[in-house]
Amino acid sequence: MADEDFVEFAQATVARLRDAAFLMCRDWHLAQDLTQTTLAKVYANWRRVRRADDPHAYARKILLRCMIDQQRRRSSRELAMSAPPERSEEHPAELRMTLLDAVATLPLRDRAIIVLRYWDDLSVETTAEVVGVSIAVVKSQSMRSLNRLRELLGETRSELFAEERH
Amino acid sequence: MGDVRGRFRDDLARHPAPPLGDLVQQSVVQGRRLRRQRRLAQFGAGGTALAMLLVIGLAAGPLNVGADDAGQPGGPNVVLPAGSADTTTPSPAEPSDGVVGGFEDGTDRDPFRSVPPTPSTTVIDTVRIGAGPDGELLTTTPQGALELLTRLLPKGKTSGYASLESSGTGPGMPSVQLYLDRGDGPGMLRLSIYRDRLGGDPAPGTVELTEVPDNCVQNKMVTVHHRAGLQVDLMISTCLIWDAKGTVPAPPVLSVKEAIEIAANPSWGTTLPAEYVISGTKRFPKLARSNG
Repeated sequence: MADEDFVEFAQATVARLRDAAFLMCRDWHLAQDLTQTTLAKVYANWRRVRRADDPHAYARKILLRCMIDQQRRRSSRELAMSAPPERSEEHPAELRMTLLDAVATLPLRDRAIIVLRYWDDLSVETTAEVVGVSIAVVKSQSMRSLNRLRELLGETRSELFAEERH
Repeated sequence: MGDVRGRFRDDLARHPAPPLGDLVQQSVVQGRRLRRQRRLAQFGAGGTALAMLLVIGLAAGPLNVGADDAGQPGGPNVVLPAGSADTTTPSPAEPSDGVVGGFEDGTDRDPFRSVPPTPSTTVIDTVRIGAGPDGELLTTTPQGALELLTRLLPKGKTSGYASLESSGTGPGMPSVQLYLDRGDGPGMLRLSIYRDRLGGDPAPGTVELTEVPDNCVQNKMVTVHHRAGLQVDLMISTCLIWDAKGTVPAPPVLSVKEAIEIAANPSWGTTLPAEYVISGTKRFPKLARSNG
């Protein structure tokens, strides 16, 4: 019965979890591995997880820990870019920086905050709990990260996060 | 906020996700293993057969840990003595309809053998891990691992060398693949060196067998626990990877006993004798990379 509960939970969350992992690491194979490791840890702690208020948030917390651990072990696999790519007038649509590229330039913790808040739509409180920081840090880092993303994406995209400016 | 999500969605659309495959099933397998390792650590498993009997007995008990093991041929309450763990079916699997199948199509099943319906991991043996190598050591590379692996394999023709991605690896912890042909056609083997820091580490010399009947790549996997939490996995596949879309059925080319002997070799580690690393670099200068 416990296995059935877990499988039901896992099937409901696996795709979303893997998408979040991909948005943070930009590597589908790594995202797949991290998701599997995350779900394995959830399984190993399933009796406790199933009693948690929000098992999905718990899974995201484990995913983030897996990513941090992975980053420590394999920094060489880090795909973050140190500078935005050169722009081209001839093929702007192909060469312009995407949000994914821009997010990749952020430190992992800030990446996680952006993905959890704006992709997973978690509240500030839940994001703080998952990332393991205070609510104030989530708020301040969100604003800083969005400002950074605006800079990277250029003036023409300033409207992208217009609602976040206030 | 909506625009950010929409932009993320657009970016995801530009990077199509690969199929999920059996990710959930594999997470269950991995999760069972983690839970069992933790339990082993809790009971202070010292590598004795008695401790393993206790753990395996618990797995079949009211805690419902590793419940699937109960249905495995050979039974979970049996600890085989060293050298008696050979349970590999020697004949190659035959696809029922001759169609090349994927990981989950079940074409790698042996119709003459009753296989458990779900993956299972069982402690099957304990072996003595000898003293590590002396002399100059270098960080283990995929090439060095292949060099050592090919020296440890039984006589046969090897090919299909590749370095694999593995999330559980770090420096000196490669994951490699090769084909071995002992006269009945090539079969695939995969070897990974890693350290899983989740839960406790079983005592050095602990040997586990994981059987995933619906996964031809990880059909049988022997795990030998070395010192310092290092683990060596040797997968005995029943298919060959031929491209990103599918697999070709192939015979298992090692018995479990042979796989244990190879994976338990004390030379395995995050460093290898320099000779293996250097020879491997020369022998496998253009090692293919595969994501499996």
